[in-house]
Amino acid sequence: MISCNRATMLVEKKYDRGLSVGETMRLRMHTGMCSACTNYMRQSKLIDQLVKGAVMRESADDATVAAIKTQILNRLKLG
Amino acid sequence: MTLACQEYLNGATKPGTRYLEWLPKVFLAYRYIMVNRDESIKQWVAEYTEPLYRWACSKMDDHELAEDLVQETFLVAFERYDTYERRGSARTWLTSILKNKIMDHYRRQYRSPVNSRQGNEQDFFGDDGMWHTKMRPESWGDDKHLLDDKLFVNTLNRCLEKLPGQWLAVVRLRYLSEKDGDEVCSELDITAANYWQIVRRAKLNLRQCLEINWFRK
Repeated sequence: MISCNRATMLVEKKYDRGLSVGETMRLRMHTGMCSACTNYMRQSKLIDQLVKGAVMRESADDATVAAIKTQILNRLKLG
Repeated sequence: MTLACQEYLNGATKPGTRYLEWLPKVFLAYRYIMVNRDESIKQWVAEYTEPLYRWACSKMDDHELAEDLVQETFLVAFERYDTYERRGSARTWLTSILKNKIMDHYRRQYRSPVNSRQGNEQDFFGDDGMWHTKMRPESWGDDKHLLDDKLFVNTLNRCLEKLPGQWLAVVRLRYLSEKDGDEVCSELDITAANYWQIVRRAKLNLRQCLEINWFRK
């Protein structure tokens, strides 16, 4: 039986590039008995989605964008 | 070249000297590109500043730096205008310049680590590799609309900001490359095992921060 420390590493490997058959079985056996690691596995995936989603929603306000445009044109002497 | 051009236009060149036929064309094409450069760049600035800035802000916390990098992107585009291949879209080209700039930034950030007070493995797991009782992940329930909640997004951002720069660099690169970790590993010149280790450390701290500041409340 693998430890929680090892199991959480396998979770990250799983979401990055997948596990071998042996690793998949070991992780399944572990999460079958360990609710903490099962929670970790769900939450690790959720955090990926949340971080990705949160950064996509940040919006730029028009004033900043207008200021950047002016600055670029000034620096290029095209303004 | 100009002389050859004039001769050519005056009809002074003899037929058969083939290079004198294409040389002026190359020259004129080059001038055509350069005259168009200013207009193109102006148009791109008007059209793409906003999407590029938005995109950069989504990849980095420091919005002032995002602003600088967007500006630099256009400066690079201006200098390298003659290498721009018209077959592709300008936005794609500009985005790839910006992406390189952002990756450079994270590469530098990764290489200059700052000491952090964030937890590492020993803070979460005992010597036997089992969770410390206080650190065991609890169930978070089933909330699918967390991102619609501005307060939650604030909490998430605050938790992200607490991560040490080196880990955050890895996390950001991870979402920047939008592929598997291979690209991040080669960018930072680290092994895959090292990469998962850092991702897990960041996640352990993030999930604990979220649990304390959001899910337990």
